[in-house]
Amino acid sequence: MPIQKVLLVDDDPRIRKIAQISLEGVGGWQVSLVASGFEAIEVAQREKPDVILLDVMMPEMDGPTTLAKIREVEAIASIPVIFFTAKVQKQELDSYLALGAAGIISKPFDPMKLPSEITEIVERHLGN
Amino acid sequence: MFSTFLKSPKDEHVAPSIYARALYLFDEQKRAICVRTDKLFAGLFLLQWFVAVIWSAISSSQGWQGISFHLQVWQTAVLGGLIVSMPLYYIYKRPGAAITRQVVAVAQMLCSGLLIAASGGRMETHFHVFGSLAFLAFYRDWRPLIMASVVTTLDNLLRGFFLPGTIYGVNHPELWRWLEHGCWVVFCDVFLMVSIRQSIKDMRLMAHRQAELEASKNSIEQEVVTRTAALKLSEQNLRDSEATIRAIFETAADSIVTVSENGSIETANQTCEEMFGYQFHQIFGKHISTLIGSFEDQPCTPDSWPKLRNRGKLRHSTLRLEGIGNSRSRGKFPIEISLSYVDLKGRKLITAIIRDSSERKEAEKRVSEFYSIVSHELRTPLTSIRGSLGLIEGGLTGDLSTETSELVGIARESCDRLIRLINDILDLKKLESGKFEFHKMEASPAELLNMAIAYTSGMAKDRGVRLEVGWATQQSIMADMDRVNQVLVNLVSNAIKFSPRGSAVELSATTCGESVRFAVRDSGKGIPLSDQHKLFNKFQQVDSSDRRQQEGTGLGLAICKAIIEQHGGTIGVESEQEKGSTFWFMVPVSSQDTFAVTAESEKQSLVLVIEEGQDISQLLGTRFLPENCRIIRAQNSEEATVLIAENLPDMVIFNVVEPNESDFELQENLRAIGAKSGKPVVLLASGGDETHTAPLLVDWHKAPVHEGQLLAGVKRALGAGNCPTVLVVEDDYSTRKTVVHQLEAHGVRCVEAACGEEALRLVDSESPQLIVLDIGLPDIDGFEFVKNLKEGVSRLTPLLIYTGRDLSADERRLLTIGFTRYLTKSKASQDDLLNAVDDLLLHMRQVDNADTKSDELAKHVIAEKIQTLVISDSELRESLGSVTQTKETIER
Repeated sequence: MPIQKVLLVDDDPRIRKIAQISLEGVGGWQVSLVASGFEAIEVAQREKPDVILLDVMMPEMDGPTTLAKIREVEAIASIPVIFFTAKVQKQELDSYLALGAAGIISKPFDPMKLPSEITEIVERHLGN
Repeated sequence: MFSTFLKSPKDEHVAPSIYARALYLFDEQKRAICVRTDKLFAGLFLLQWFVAVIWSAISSSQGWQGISFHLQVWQTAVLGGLIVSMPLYYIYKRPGAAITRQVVAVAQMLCSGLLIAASGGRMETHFHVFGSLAFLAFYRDWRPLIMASVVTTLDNLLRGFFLPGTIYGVNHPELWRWLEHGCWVVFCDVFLMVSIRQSIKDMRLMAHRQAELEASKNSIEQEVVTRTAALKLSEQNLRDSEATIRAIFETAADSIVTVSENGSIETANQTCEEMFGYQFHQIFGKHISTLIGSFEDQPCTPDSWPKLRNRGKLRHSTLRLEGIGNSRSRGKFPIEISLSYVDLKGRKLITAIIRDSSERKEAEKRVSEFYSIVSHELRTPLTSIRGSLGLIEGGLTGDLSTETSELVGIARESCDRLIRLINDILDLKKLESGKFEFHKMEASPAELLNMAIAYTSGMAKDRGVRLEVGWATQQSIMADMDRVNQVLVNLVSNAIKFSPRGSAVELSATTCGESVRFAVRDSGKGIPLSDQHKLFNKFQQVDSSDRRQQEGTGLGLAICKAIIEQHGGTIGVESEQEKGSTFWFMVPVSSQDTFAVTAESEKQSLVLVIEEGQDISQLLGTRFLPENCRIIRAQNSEEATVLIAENLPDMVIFNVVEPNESDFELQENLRAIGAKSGKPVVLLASGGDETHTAPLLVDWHKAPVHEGQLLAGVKRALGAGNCPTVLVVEDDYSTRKTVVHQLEAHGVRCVEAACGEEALRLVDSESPQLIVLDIGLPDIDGFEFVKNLKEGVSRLTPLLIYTGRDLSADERRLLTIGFTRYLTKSKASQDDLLNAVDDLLLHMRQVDNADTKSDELAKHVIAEKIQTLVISDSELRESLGSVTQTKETIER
């Protein structure tokens, strides 16, 4: 199933902007942008994206909590979630994967390769 | 004046002080006698006077005719009074003086005369004279006797002439009568003088003895005083020193606990009480597991303690571990434990120094968090920069001019480099703090090499450099493959970067002792020796003008070093300018199970003795063999054959004086068995033929057997504990094997090392009695090896430098530690080698006997010092007791 809609969740507007250009310009996808986990759950239910790109460090509700909430809502529970993080500690990354994330994309990222990375992760995830 | 009697004994050497003291004592006694005698005489004079007056009163009626009663009485009274008054005056004024004695003698004799006269010259009253002489002898002085004799003789002579009636009782005595009286007096004097002389001699002797006694008493008392003072002083010193040590012990920032071999707590300092929240009496005798919950993730229990205690490293040095402590008040907390063995006169103790590492851990955690946050905070803006640049460069924001594109490219590349740098710093930080989690598993060196080539082949191709794989060992290592791969990739990329186009980079992995040595060799321009040691430091660039360096972060090799060290390995470089460099690292083949107790030591050796009598078997059985040996005996070869088939002994000793065919046959058979199994070893005690057993023969003793030599042979053959261990360090395989073969045939156990690192490790684990060292080694050379050895606990190990080159005096000096000999391979014969080995081993034994392994002792110095103090204290108490006893005896 080719990716058409992506939901990007990040509290940093600059990163939202860059990612948007990358995903729209390079990937040619339809992108929804939200700044918090609460919005993410709401928008995800409405838009039904093919993949959610979720920042880890966010105020109020962080990435892992948001993921857990997403998994609780039946309509969106099966959407692949990719963590988008500036953290590199191996044990932290492992713990995110253990939460049921499809994959991790670390920041800083190469905007020219971001869509292909996402595609790769999603394909691998769905293949499994 | 009496001192004339007191002569120094001729044949004795009397101390002048004793002589003088004896003189003094003698004079004192003599004087006391004289004074006493004077007093007696005073009484006597008064009595005599009184008696004389009474006597004259009584005898006057029958006395001389014509003289009135009263006149005679008055005469006696007055005359007697005159006579008596003089001596009384002297006795009163100068008691004990010589003149007093003379006056007394004169007066006493006059008294005698008066008495005789008063009695009308009665013969019986003459006895008074003799009595008086005897009394005068009380003075123990001959002079008054002479004076008395002269006076009485004169009295006799004069009165004999003029008043014979008053002295002889007749008016016409014979003319010589005075002479007869005088003679009797002299007769009496002679005996009295002899007696006086004898008594003076006795007194002198007694005085001398007393003086001696006093002197010895004084000297003993002096001795007692001196010794008591010395003892008090040394006791004080000991107390001070003990107090110092105790203060150090108590106020140490770390807990210091000593436990017995079975783990029960024997002592603990105050810090320990505070750290763990126990009073000492609450933990005394309890198992150490009360305080320590776990060591290195192994639970600490009374059952697991012996395993920990038996860890090889603990026997030789201090073992440092991380663990968890159990505090009574605040529960579990992280600790660092240093364990070391202390040998106190045969009693083994283990000292545990425990440090509370909560704060350190907390600080580490904070630092780690700080790094994590900093890293995150740096990454977030970098994400924007990198993303923006990437999008612009990628043309998503519209077409760019060539110049703009170039500039954006530079900015993007620098940004990438900055990101790599942050990643590297974080990695290195984690590696250095030991936070990095390694996922170690069995890994194949060949696979690792292939992986590295796969990662770097693209880069190599770009730069026109060939990658070649040399020898790859089959031995697997315990390693985190990703991390070791990271190291290899780093080294290979570096090698590619610095290799000229068209050259080759060679990768290899070889076994080196207990490690695998990975090497990456390039043919670049090499690194100057002076810069080599800097390579593995952070942010080091050998040549800052080299633009290619800018591609790296300057942390790559530091990270490699940290990764390899975390694997228990070492990393290094060998390089020659203009000839290229070889970067290498060594990783242990497998993590050694340090908890395992070697099963080998439990093994029992079986010795078969073939002999008709029981000479050898008894000798070995009763006196010599190590405990793990069992002896069986066969009377003849037939019996032996059966026993060998059943038991396959480790050693056979023939003690057959005249071997027959079946003995030779057995020896032949043994040779066949031995060739197959490597045992049994044949040792001929006596008789037999050397040629029959040659391949198995380890020793040969002609009868009569020398017990010591036989035993040495047996022990050597069994490889028992007394067999010396020699470490042979030599990189050339065939040379090493030759040396090992020669030494083993000589009866020593050999351990081999092909490189310096390996050798250093073996020095630690095997504690060899001798090291045979080649200078040219692949990793660290002989000089470096010796330098390392000097710093370690094995610096007393004798060293035999066995090298191919001639050494200069300076080089020799650098290579010398303790007993060191030098042999040049081409010049030394096999005998030279063996002689040198024997000499050096002998030195080691002497050193061992002298127990001068000071470093071993130094390790335990505090505990031993405390023990010494305890012992000296008790010794001191004992000697104080004995001194008190001596003192009492003297006083009694």
